[in-house]
Amino acid sequence: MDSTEELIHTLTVELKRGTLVLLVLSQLHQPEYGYSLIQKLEDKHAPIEAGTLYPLLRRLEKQQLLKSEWDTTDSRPRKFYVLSEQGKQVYNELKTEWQTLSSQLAQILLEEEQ
Amino acid sequence: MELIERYIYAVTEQLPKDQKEDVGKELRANIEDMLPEDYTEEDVKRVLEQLGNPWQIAEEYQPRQRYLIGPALYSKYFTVLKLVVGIVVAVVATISIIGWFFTPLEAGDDLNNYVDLTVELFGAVVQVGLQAALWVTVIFASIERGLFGKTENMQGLSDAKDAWSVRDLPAIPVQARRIPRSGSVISIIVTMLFTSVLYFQPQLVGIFISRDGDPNLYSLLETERLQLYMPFILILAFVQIALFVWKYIVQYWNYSLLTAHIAVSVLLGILLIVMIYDTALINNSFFNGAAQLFDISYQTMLWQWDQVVHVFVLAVIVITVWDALDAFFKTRKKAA
Repeated sequence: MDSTEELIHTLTVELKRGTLVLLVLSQLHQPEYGYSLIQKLEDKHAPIEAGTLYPLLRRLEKQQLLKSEWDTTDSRPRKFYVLSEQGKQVYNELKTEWQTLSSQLAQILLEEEQ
Repeated sequence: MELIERYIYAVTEQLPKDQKEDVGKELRANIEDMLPEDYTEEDVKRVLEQLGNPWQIAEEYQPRQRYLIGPALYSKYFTVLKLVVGIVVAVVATISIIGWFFTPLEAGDDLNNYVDLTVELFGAVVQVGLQAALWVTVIFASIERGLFGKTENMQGLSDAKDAWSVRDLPAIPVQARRIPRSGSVISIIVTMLFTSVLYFQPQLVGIFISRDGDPNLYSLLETERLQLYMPFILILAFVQIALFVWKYIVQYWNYSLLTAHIAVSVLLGILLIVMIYDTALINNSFFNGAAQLFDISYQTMLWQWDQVVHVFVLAVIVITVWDALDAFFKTRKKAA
């Protein structure tokens, strides 16, 4: 029993991991810093772990999908991330891919039920 | 707060220098954001535990390849490591023990000398064992990093990012081109034997004549002169090990392997010929011993020696050429 639950957990994590990039990109039309993004996603009932998000933001920046800037006007300096031109393009493509994929999958699962 | 600093240190410790500071600064800001106003140590503990294992986060940040030898080469690495270290250790131990029998014990020698010799033996075995392990590891790590280019028949090594096409499929190996493992193993044993004798017990190469129960050893080589050649001998031994690893991995002849193989055997041949022609390398007492053994005069022995040298040189050339041709024809063989 335990191992089945464990397996389901692992598979769910894997399933979600593929959508993380899309999820994060979708929220970055306006600049956000690490924690603000976490709260934003939590409010939308799509929580993401801080330990996963922070390195992911850096990776996306390195892939030039995001631009970053330190904001030092506040008492606490924060690193803000926002979509780059390339990031916007990639986001739109990914979104279309996702919509196709999810509608296909929904169709297949529906057929299966009947 | 000390805990936060320790957490940041744990995450950034292994990152490249240019990222360390920025990642640390960002992480600190994020942690502070996650804490309430006027936070307590309990709050800090809760937030850090929520962030999770710092080493896992460090792993996610890490851009570089973080292994010496990857899964594609791992099992071959271990097989070769065990084989080479085993052979080297066995050869050195054997040679050292043989050396004992010809080490004349001086007056007043007792059991302590044998203790010394045993300690020496262990020292030598550990030393060469570590050397061999080091060099095998260096060679495999270089292959892993593509320093020798992409090698045929090494699945899993090619860069997954490169576009793959059907042309990249490895050809089914032609059986006739196979390099038998036993042959490679024997050649590595011979190489190690040769190198270790010259390195540890060069005086053993010579003639033994037993007179009145006393073994007399007439060494062939002048040990001091031999030191001149030692770097070349060691480099060649190292290259031979590298070649052995290469053959062991690809298992079948190909043209780059053939080129390397021929280059190494030609160099070895040249070294042997240069050494045998070097009159300063040959110990004069050897001629005395040989003359006694064959019961001929010293002058005749010198003349005979010239003949031996000619035969030796001829043999080296014939064997090198024959070996090169053999490898060449095997490499050229087409699938049946």
